[in-house]
Amino acid sequence: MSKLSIQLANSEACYLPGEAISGRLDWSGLPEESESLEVRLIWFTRGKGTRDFEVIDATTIESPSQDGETMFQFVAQRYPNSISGKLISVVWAVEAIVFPECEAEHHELIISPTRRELYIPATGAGEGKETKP
Amino acid sequence: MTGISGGVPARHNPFATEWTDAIPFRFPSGSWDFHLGRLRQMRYCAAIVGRKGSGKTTLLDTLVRQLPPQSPSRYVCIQRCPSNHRRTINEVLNQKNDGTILMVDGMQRLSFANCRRLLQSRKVPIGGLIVTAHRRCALPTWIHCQPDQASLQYVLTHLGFSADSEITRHAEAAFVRFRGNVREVLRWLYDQVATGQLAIHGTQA
Repeated sequence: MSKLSIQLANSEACYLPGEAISGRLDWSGLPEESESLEVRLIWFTRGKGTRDFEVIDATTIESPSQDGETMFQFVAQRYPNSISGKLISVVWAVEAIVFPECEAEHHELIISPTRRELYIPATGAGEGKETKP
Repeated sequence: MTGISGGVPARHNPFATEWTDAIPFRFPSGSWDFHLGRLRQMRYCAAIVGRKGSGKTTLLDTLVRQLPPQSPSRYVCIQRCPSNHRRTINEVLNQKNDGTILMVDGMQRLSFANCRRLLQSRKVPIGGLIVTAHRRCALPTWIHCQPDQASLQYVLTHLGFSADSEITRHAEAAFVRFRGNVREVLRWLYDQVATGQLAIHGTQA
C-alpha cells in the first residue's frame, strides 16, 4: 500500500490570487510498475449535482522510485475563487496521483481575495430573505 | 462547519455526490466471487434490473472495477450521454471481436432501434452485453436490485452515521416515503442538511 503525504509551506492553506503555493510531497511504498507520479493544482466542485474538475498546473515525475520526496510550487489563480453555497462549493486542492493505479491524496486549500472561503447567499424561494405576507 | 445561515455549505455536506457516488455496491447475500461466477456462466450477457434509485448504476460502476482486467480485454460503458449512444454502439458492434464487454446504463434511455441492435448483438461475437433496466428485458436477469432498510443503513454507515443517529431515523422514514428509492433519500438528506432542517453535529459515528 503506497503512502502519499502533502505538506504545504503555508500551514493555514489560505492564499491570495497570485501568491505562491509551495510545499513538499513525500511518498513511500509505490508499486514497482508505477509509470508516473503527478503533483497538481486542481479545482473541483462538491455538492448535490454533477461534479466538475479541472487541472490547472502539474509537475510530473516519470518512473518514480518507490520512496522519495519532491518540492513543488504553483501560483494561486485569480479564478475561480473558493466559494460555497448550499448547492455547490468550488474547492481548490493540491493533489498527488500515481499512474496507472490512480491512487491519490489531496490537500484542500482556499484561494480568494480575502483568504477566506466566500459564501454564496441563498436566493431560492423561501430562503435567504424575508418576504412580506 | 456552518457558514450559511442555518445550514451547511456544500463543501461540508456529507451527502454531496462526491461521497455518495464513492460507496461501492454491496450484495444483500453472496460474495462478489459468487455473483461474478454467475455472470461468467451467463457469458457476460445479462441485465441488472431494478426500480429508480435501487442501486443499478452503483452496481455497474462497482462491477467495472471488479471484472478481471485480463479477460475480457475492454469495457465500454454507456452512461447518461444519449448523443454518443448511437456512435459508441456502432463502434463496438462493427469492430471485430476483441472481447469487449458493452455495458449500457439505462436501457430505457435508448431508442427502439438502438435497443434492437443491442439485443441482436448477442448473436454478434462481442465479449458481452450488460445492461441496466427498470424492468425485465430480453436479456436474462443477473441481479434484481431491491434495496431494504439494511442497504440504507450500509450507505449511511459508509457516510459516517451510526444506526442510532438522528439522521438514520429520518432516513428510514424517508426511505418508506420515497418507496425504497435510496438516491432520492440521499438527495432529500442533502437538502435537509443544507438548509439546516437536520443537524449533523454530534450524529456522525
